[in-house]
Amino acid sequence: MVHLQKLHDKYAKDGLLVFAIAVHPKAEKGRKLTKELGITYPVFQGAGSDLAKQYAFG
Amino acid sequence: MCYSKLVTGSVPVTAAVAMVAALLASSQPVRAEFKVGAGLPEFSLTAAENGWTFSLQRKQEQVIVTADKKRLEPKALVLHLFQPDCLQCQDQDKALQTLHEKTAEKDVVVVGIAHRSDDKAVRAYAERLKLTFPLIVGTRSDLAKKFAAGDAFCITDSKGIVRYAQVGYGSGEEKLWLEAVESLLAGKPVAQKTAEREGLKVGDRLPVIELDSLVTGKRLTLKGDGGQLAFQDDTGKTIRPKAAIGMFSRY
Repeated sequence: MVHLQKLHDKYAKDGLLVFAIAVHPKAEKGRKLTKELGITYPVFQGAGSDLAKQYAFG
Repeated sequence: MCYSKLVTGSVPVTAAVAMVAALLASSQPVRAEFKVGAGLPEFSLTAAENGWTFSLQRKQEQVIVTADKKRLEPKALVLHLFQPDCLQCQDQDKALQTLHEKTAEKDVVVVGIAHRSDDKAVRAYAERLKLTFPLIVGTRSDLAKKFAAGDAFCITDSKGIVRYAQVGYGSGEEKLWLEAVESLLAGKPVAQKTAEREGLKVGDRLPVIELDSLVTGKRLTLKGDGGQLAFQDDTGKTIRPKAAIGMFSRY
């Protein structure tokens, strides 16, 4: 997430969209970490979503 | 960190991938998954429970495991790199416990290696999930540095050659592990060498992502709109990025 933040900081102005899809069921934990890491790119809440079930492996 | 990446853009996807790969090259450590056909490297690490040594050596065409001073020559070795705070790892290790119980009397060694944790957390993890196969602390080990990209998993033959490998876990995949182990015990080749999953491939269109923001709780939308990628943020503002990179995050 931190490396992606660096990409966001450097290339957002050139048209790169950086995003994350949080799939941890405890959203508060994710919110806290996002704040601690200084993440400013968009983070979708995807826990339990069809998208996560289909693609969130690894 | 457990993650899957999604890369796309209004430019051809291959170009977007190349662009992002180039961007990432300077910032990410190089890590690999276990590769079918490759030999598992030798290692010696400390078990979370009581601090005994778990080591793996490959000698004269035979993998030798030493666990708590016991010398074993398994016909199949099942290895999972995990983290105690990874939910997917927990599901996988519960399934591994079942495999361990089914195969413990059949020259099969199942081992979990924590790649980002300490012995206290790993012991608590084993106790909570009632895991009885060896759990090793491998934080900062060469093995973890090389293979812990997304919680790697493999099954080797008696020579320590990887015959099955996957990253992450999907429900029901333990059936494939059991088939692989039974093939190795019978001296037969492993038919299915990894878990087949649906995933995004180069050339695929990004699915519409319409979910709330983790931070604000307001709607975010990312979709293709008239052949152009469009992202609407939680204020309703729409931007049209030239490329996009995303990841699933479990934290």
